Amino acid sequence: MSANPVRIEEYAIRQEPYYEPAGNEIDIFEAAAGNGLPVLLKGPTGCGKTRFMEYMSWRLDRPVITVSCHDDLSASDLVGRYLIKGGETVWVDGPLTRAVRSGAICYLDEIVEARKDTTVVIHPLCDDRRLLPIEKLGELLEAPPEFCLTVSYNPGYQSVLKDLKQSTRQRFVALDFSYPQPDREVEILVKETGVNTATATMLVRFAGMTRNLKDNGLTEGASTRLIVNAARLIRHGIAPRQACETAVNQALTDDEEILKTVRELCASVV
Amino acid sequence: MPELDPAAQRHVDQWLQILQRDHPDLQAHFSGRLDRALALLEIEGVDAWMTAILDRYDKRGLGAAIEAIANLDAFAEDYRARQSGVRLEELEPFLEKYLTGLGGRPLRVMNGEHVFTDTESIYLPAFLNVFDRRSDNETLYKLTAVYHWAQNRYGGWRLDALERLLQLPGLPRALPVFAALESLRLEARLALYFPGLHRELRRLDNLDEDGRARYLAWSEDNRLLLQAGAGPMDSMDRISGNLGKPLPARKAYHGEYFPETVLEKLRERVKQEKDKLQQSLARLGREQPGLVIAGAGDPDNAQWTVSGVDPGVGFNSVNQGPGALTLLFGDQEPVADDEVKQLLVSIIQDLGRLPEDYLQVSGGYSGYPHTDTDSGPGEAGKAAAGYDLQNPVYYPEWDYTRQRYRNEFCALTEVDVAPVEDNFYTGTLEKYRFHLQSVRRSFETMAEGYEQRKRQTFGDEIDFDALVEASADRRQGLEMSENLYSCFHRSRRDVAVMFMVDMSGSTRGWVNLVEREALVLLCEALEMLSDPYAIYGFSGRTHKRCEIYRVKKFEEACTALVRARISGIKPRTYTRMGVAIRHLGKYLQALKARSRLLITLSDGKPEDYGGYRGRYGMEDTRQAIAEVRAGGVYPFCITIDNEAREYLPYMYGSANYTVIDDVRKLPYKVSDIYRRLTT
Ligand SMILES: Nc1ncnc2c1ncn2[C@@H]1O[C@H](COP(=O)(O)OP(=O)(O)OP(=O)(O)O)[C@@H](O)[C@H]1O
Ligand SMILES: [Mg+2]
Repeated sequence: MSANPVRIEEYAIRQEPYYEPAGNEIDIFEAAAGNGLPVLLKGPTGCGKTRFMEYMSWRLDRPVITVSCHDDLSASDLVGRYLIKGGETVWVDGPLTRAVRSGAICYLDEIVEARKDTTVVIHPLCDDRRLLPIEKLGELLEAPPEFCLTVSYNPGYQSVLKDLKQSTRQRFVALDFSYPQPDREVEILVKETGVNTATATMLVRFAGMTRNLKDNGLTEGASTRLIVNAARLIRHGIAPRQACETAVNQALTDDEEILKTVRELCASVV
Repeated sequence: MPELDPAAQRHVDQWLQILQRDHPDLQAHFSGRLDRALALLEIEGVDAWMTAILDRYDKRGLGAAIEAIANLDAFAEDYRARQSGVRLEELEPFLEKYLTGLGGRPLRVMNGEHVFTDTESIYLPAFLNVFDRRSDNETLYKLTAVYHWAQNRYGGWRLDALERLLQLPGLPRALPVFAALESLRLEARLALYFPGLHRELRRLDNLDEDGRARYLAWSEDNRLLLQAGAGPMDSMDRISGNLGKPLPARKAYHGEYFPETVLEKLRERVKQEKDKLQQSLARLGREQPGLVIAGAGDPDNAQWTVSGVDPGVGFNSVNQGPGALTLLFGDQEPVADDEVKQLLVSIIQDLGRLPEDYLQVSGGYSGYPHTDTDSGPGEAGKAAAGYDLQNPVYYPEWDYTRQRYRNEFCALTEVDVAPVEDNFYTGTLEKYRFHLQSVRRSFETMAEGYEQRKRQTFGDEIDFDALVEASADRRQGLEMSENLYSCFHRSRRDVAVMFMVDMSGSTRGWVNLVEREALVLLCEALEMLSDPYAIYGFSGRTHKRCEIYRVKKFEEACTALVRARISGIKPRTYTRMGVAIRHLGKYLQALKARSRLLITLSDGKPEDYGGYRGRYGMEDTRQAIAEVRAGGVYPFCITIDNEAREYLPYMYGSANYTVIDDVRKLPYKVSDIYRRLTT
């Protein structure tokens, strides 16, 4: 008996998403998925990991179930739990179980944010056994070949609290996602938002400058996502400096000193 | 007297009253000059003038005070200068960050007698008061820094160009011509990439009409230099044609040229950076295989390549930073190593290109960096025989040559650092007051925050997820959990940190000073959080005499005594690191905190008398780190040793250390690193 709220087909991606490859990550992902290997996407926020997953989902013609991990995410949130419905208890599969049963891609975003005990449930899925134990049901699920586990992780935060344990990370094939090359990033901006090349170039240059400030006042530079947002605002008639201020500067930091530096950098190119 | 608004009138009345009380003559003279004073100065200015007059009166009597009243104009001029003028000290942190943002080799900003760059620093005046408005003077500082950044960034100090420049006959005559030609080229480049800056450069050049006209004519004559592809050699080519012609005036942000000084710096750096690059590439090469599954190629024959270098300009013109470079090893995935990329940027800046042999690294795996002093401890410690220690604690040491421990080998004693009562602590707070403000702000945000805790046995709200699950469990015949509540907690940081400070002899001088300064700032920052912290120094001479110096225990507050001990930290002897890690790690392990950090501040490799050098010292340190890590301690190292990238990854692991390139930056960086490590 099942009470799953969303049917798996609804996760399918039918239209080709726009994805600009940086290298041979598409081939590698295909090879990994074809060999039942789990994949780790390493990279800063907003550099195209989710977009890449959507694209791969479309390309491999398998639905992708995404879970954004947070520090409250328990193993039951992933695997499933009993619920009460009309006086009866009903088992509901968690997203991970659903993905395993249906041979989908399961994407655990920001895996380090999850509680440490949660990460452990994926371990048996990641080695060659490819098993998911469901304790409460007393069931041992074997993943079909189509099932593919992908996790993402931002190694940029050099924090004791957010480090991926070796025992976890060594189970994955790692793909390094950093910001796109400048000319490719310009291309992404143009195609994604329709701004002209000059505006896109200026935004990419500005983003590059904020990235130089990583660990030098900023925890992270402006991501592709932020300048995509700025470009959208500009496209809708907002003045470039204002667009950067709201979409980029304010999103980057609250520290007035650093904000002043970021603003000055913005003013020098925009 | 002109009509004054009520607020101003109140001030005037008050001034007159005060002066009347002190001396009627004072009041009379003051009234006589009041109109002019109000014309020259704002209310605050007149108020300052008042203070100066009263001060004169108190110290030197009526005559001097009346004289001060008569000198109103001089006072006003001086006062306005102080108001609009900007001190470099106030702007320095901003300028350095700003230049970092622009990209390229990091440049320090420093006060100097002349305005120029030596390609490592930009020297600026201590005080600027060229324009009436304070904000314009601030901008002038920025533009001067940017102009000299551009000299570095756009090839103005390329090695080949510099060597040619210095060979020119009649250099003293040629140099100003070169500088003027370069100004055309650099400003055209800035205009191209930084339209915003360019507008400011034009607004604040401080030229008169005639000066601007001269510039216009000058650039008409040298149009070639305005093109994006122009380089320093193009300026050089045009020197002879322009010799003897009148040069345009210097703009407000132009500085001077000291090519000999630059050449010295450059030659040394070029040599160092080549070595550094090759060592880093060798290390990266060893780390590569295994990263990628497909198309990995043969790691032994793989070659390094770098793309994204535009030979004409030096860089891909879209991005100013190392992001433009792609570093490839064979046909593997691009390698994202910011440090190596930064190094490449610096090299390309100096040479205008990346010579092929720079990327040719001889292979050969070695797990540790080679040193020529690889020997066991052999006759270790004979020199220290007979040294008497009270109640030492004994620790084992790892001897890699035997692949086993030497038990009870190191005798360690703990002593207090002798306090030094001076104003070092407060002096440091004063020196870094601008920086401290922002440190405090960022630490404040760390200390605050609430979190919702779920599945508690009691709390403010029912945790519905838990309740539903528990009811379901009960119906299944399972035991029902009692953790059914959620509550809000002030989120408690559960971090404890131990600072282990290198007090070896090599820290003498600068290093010792900045270490102490860094500790002062750290204490100030950590006092804002509830994180327990301790500070201990370490040094020693041979395994028989290892010493740990207490500065602050975990349970101790940051008292006057602790502050005096920080001031009293002195360089001692050698660096036997393993035993110090074991000992201090033990203290940390005794604490209950969830995250326990052992942060070492160091200036070099482990090294001690009698064999604790080279590989031996490194292997023992590595072993000690593995031990404390197994005990749940997270070791991290902050070092100022530029070579550290070659050996620290081996001891601490590749993500667990930071190299501070410039000693003087240490106090600025440490609290930031701590913040990053624990959020
Ligand atoms: N290679 C790319 N091709 C197309 N669009 C891209 C690419 N990289 C980034 N983008 C753009 O950047 C935006 C942010 O990317 P995405 O949401 O995939 O980031 P992410 O890496 O998943 O970030 P996070 O770690 O925060 O989840 C996308 O919506 C898209 O507009
Ligand atoms: Mg995402």
